[in-house]
Amino acid sequence: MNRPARRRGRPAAILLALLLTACAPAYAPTPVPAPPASPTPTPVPSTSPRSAPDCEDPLASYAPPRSNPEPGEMPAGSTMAEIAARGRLVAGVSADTYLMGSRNPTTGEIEGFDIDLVKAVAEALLGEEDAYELRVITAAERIPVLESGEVDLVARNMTITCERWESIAFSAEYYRSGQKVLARTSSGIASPDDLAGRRVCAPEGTSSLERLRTELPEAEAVAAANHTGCLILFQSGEVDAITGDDTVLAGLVVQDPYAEVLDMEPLSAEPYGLGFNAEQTDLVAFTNRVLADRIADGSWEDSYDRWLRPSLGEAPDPPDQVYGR
Amino acid sequence: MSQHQPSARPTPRRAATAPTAPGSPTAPTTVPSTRAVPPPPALTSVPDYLQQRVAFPSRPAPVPPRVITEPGRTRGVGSRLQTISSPRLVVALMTLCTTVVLLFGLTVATVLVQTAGAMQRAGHNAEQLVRVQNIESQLLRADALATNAFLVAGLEDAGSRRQFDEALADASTLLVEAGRAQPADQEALQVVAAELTRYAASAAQARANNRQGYPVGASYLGQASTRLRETAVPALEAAARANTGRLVAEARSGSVLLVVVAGTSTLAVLAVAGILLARRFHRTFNLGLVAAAVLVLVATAVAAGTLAAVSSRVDDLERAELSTVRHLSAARAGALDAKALESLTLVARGSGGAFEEAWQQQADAVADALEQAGTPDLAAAWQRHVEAHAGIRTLDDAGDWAAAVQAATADGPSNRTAQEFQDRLAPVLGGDVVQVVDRLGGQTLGLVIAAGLTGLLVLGAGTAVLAGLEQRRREFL
Repeated sequence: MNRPARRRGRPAAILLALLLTACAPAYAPTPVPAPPASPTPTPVPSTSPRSAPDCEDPLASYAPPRSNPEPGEMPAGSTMAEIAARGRLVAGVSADTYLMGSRNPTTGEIEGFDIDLVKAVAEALLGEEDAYELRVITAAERIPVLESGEVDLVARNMTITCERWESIAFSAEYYRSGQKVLARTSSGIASPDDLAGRRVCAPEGTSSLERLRTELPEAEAVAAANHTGCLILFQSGEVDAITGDDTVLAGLVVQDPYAEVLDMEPLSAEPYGLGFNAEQTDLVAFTNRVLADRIADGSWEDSYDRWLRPSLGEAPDPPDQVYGR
Repeated sequence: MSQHQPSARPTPRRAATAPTAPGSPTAPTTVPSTRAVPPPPALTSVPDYLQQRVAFPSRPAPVPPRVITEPGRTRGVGSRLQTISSPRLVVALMTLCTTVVLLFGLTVATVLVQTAGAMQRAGHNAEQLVRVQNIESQLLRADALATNAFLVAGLEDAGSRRQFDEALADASTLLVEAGRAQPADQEALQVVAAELTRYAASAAQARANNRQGYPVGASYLGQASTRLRETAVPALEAAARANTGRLVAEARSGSVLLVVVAGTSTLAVLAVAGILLARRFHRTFNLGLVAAAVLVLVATAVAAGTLAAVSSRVDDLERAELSTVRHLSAARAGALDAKALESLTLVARGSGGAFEEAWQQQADAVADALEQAGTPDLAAAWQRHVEAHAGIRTLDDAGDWAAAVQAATADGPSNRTAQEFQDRLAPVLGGDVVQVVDRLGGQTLGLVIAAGLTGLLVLGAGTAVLAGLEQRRREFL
């Protein structure tokens, strides 16, 4: 009787001990979700450069009236009257293009050379320079928001081109910029020729990116959402250089002491204009009057001195105002 | 019982030499009855000399059927049981029955102990689930604080900065704990840990740039927020899903069927043994075997009943508290995410359509989760936050961005209602978590007791088998 009982007890005890101690099952490892396509913008395959449509003179805008109506006296049915009824001018701007249009972290206000223009138009139209609402948009959104009528104008360092004239309208030129290249100090990049095989960043949907692909085909083009996005890639070493308008690059250099704009001939001339809905030519003419007045009374130069002079030097001559459309 | 034994005693001796009148294969069923009725002295009372004089036996000698397997060799066929001697039969039945009863005991004890272990592991998985969801909440809380602080012009408030640091510190502590608690989660948690480091670095860079008035600071933060949601949050959600799956699988692992099958098979074996004994020894029942069968039956009932009770309690738990925990955790993370999205909508200043859409989705998901959790109090608190958010949207859409920002930051209605929601949610969630873990762990005790009880019953059954058969065996000594 005893023997079987003992025989019975031993394996059971061993088994029980085994069950209690060594029973933690090895679970299948938690599947790790695939990371998003790529944390950094991938190089955009270079598209065959489209032949830019020709137009007689892209800089020619709608002729302004000799003088604008006073605030509160906008002609009935005009775009200006609609804006006056709304009580504020809606402008698409950049909030991260330092010096042109960027949010001041200390005050929370968006300010810059472009924003001064919005204020001037708001003042001429509504009588007070703060009667505006800003919509922060990316470069790629500039034309869509104008076409959909979400904003009255776009003041976001926008280059006047024949191609863009096909979908929107421009004011007369308010600044002549040029596309240049920014690189790290002592990186061995001294001229655009040194960019062959290097990674160069430009914001998506900009003429800078297209020009980069046509003018510097040996460089590897990398697109980011905007210029500050490029600066982040630049600071983390993911791109070697940034290309863009000298005004924008000036703003980036201020934010990074290890960056410098190459001493070079601009890759292109970039005439800036305010963008409008193609239908609202009355507003374009109205704005052209404001721009011409600003050049005449020195506000243009004041604004330049405030924002761009520390980085770009003495004010050039204001661009010629060309009309005839 | 023992007074009838002599009648059976000689049989084995004869069975060894001449296997058998009784077991004549042609009419096995009739034999026990005919042998039970006639007086005992049947064959043995005929003297040998008489038998030898019979020239022509009335029946052919009872030779067991054999088949020729190969030239010169034969092999017996038919039931071996009929050819086996009684003492050997008893020993064989003893071995068989005790082994089967022991195997039954082992099987049932194993199932019970394993189920107890599984309950414990289910509890651990529940804890891990909560931990993982807590990490997600802490990360989203940090991000909500950072984006909200960014909306406010000037230096961020020291209090919110401290909360931000605390949230990140909590998240990294929990990450270490979670990695240690569940090795299977480690790979996913490594992704989160790497992202946490990157996020903290980006946030620091954002602050440094912000302090100097550089807009690139905002871009650093924006990019960090996006990455956090694209990398860390999906990894944490995968871990939460995996742990929920593990929890449910463990909680459902107890097999009543196995216990019932084992019990029935054991009873069947005991019954067969009983029948064999009855045939051989003219006893209807062997008390030992009957007792063993009863004990096995009770053990089966105890084990199966305990497992069924545990399974129904786990079902209840899964339907009630556990599902509440899951929904409330989801609501908590969703609410924090929504808060960050609200800030981002305002940061985008008029172009935050995509963020607002994401906010709507998140808000609906939160409301849905609260409804599923069946917590009308919390649903009301969330509704207040939704209204605060609607107020902000109205202000912003009307062009009054500054007022919208004011309402969305500091002690504005949005932050106040969001905080109130989190404050109300925390104790409910905490209580449910404790309940789930306790209840799952509590099943362990019942199962271990049932295992012990089953062990005792089986021990008793084994003893009964041995005792019952020993009685028969002793008759041959």
